[in-house]
Amino acid sequence: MVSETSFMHIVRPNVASPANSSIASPCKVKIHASASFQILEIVSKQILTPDKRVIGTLLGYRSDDGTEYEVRDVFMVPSSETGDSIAIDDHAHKTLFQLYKKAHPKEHVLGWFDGSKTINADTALIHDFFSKGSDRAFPYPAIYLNAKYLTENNEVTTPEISTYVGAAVGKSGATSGKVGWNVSSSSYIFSPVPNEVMSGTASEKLALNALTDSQYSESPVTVSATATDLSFLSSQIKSVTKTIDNLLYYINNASSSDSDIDLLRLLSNNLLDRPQYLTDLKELESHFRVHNQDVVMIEYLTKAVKEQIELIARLTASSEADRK
Amino acid sequence: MTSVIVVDSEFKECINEYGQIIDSANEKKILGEELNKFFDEKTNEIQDKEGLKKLIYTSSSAPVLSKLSDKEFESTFNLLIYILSELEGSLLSLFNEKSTLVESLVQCIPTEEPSLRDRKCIKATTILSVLNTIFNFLPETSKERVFILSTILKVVEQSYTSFELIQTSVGTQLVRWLENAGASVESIKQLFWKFISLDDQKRRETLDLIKSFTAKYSLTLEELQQLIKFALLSSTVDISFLVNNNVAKALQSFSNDEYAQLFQKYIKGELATSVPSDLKESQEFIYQKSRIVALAQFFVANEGKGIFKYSDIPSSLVSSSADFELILINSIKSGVIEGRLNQVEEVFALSRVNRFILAGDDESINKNWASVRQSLTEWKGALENIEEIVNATRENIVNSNSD
Repeated sequence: MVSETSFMHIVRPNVASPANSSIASPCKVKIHASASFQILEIVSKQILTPDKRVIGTLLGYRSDDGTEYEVRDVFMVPSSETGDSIAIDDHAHKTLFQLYKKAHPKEHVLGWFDGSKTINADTALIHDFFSKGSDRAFPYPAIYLNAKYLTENNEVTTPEISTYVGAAVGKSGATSGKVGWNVSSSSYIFSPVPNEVMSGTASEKLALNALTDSQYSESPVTVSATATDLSFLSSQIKSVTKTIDNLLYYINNASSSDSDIDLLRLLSNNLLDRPQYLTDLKELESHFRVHNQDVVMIEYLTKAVKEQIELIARLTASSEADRK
Repeated sequence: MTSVIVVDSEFKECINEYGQIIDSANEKKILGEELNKFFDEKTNEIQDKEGLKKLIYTSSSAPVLSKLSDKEFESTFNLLIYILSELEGSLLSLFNEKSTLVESLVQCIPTEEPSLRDRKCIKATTILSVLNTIFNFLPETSKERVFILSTILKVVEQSYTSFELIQTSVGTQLVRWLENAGASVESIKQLFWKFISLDDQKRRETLDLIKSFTAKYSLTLEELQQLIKFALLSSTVDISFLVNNNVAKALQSFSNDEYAQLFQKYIKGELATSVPSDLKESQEFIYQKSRIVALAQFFVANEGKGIFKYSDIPSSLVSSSADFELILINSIKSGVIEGRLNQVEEVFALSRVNRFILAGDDESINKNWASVRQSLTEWKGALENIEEIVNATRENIVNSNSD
């Protein structure tokens, strides 16, 4: 599903970077759920010093043509703003990235993030820092992620994650500077690009669902994927039954509106031709028993084969010992 | 969230930079020197703002801008937008319907498709990218957004741009953007149907867009005809989902129209026997689709059966066994039918068939609601005992292992 946005994104604008692909295609940023939590944790420090910008580095994969980004991890980079200038602790950034690179050799610096309320000249300076030089996004274009969660009056609100690419302005757009051209300005048009927060693994999805389900509960959340009892199955069956009950209740009061006709279309096309044994309890039971017997048989055979292999190994070892 | 321009240089430096770029494109050193004359040498302040504006406009005509390479074009235009917005005092005045800037931009569209070797030539996607940036500069409620959207559609129509590029990025939000920008209903309808006409491959996603649009806006005869033509020529066979309340009303109002009559026949599963003269070229394609729908409707009418012999199929639908197999394969490929075909025994086991639910047909709707209700109740009943079955089976396994 495409989320509703006020901005348009047909193709990625021209960005000033040597590895910029010449093929016009749209750009997309995927943010792993764990990375988005880390970003929020880091930018939350902004509330302590509203006038000081808290920034960090985005890490992860990117496609060769620089149109798809996958943010998998982040770290904070110390910085200080004084008047019109900003000092970024390059040494800390390099050290942390080198350390990260050892564990994740295939990942790169994708860009940077902050929790700032506005985009201004300092944003362009920081973007310039992350776009140029070694151990940064260079030669690929850097992306800028803004996690805004403070209103103009510094009141905390629901975080809004926006991602941008820095489109080139003026001479910097040319791939090679012409004779006499001095291309050093850090001018950009921050163009919004779509982003989506994604959950990578099944356990992440389970954890996210559990967090969403219990957001109003005061008791601590426990998620276990290795539960040995059948409580999980039982709770899932209860939840499906509840959904069916809700659906039946809704259907009893269905109107002839377009949305109800769409629902009928969906249900008719998917429900009415299910296999008969799903509602025939006896047949379902026999199918399940047969399936379980198959599983037990496979387990038994595996065990038998394993024992045979071990026996062969022992016999070979003892015969070799006898020869000596 | 809109685009933000951040320029890290003095205004005079930007003007100089622009002059250098245009001089380099013209291979003459004239503009840079002329532009410098508008600034006070000591204070760097502009002496004749109107004169400077005029010179910038005249030096940014389409023939001059077209001399730039594709890589230079977008960034130069971005700089030009910045300079003119500073001189005009606002961005909105730059992009109204009389905008010479947008006119020059559209004139830069290549008239011929560039060859693969021609890397420097300005591409249509670059023009689209600039228009994309302009659109994002404008506030959501600004009327100028309507003009930019119509310009984008014009560029796609005139150039060799693939419709796929704007299908999702523009299509899914076009109506909402137009509504938010305060466009009139006529202009929303006009731009939407213009957008639809750009899809030469009649994609399924575009049909979905038509469906959501017609749910909101009523249809005139021309619009209904455009919908019918698009739907019949698309590769999607089951187009019954397009019939919502508004479309049903329009079909009823224009029931004498030959397009409406053909469409009614098609979605009800009756075989199409003639097509309007406009569609003569695609006659065979429409007949083939109509046969698939008619076959699916036959399966729906005999849904309790499950297994069908080749001989059960009416001869009006298929002429031979080979013909039946071919039409079945096409039906399965189009997603209307699912099942297993046994060629040796000449039987077809049906597992799923699409129901053709049409708004306005209350009798069939009530019947289908009743079937869905029954199916859901049966499913609920089965679920209630699953846990019991699993527990019992588990105990059986434990007991048999311990014996």
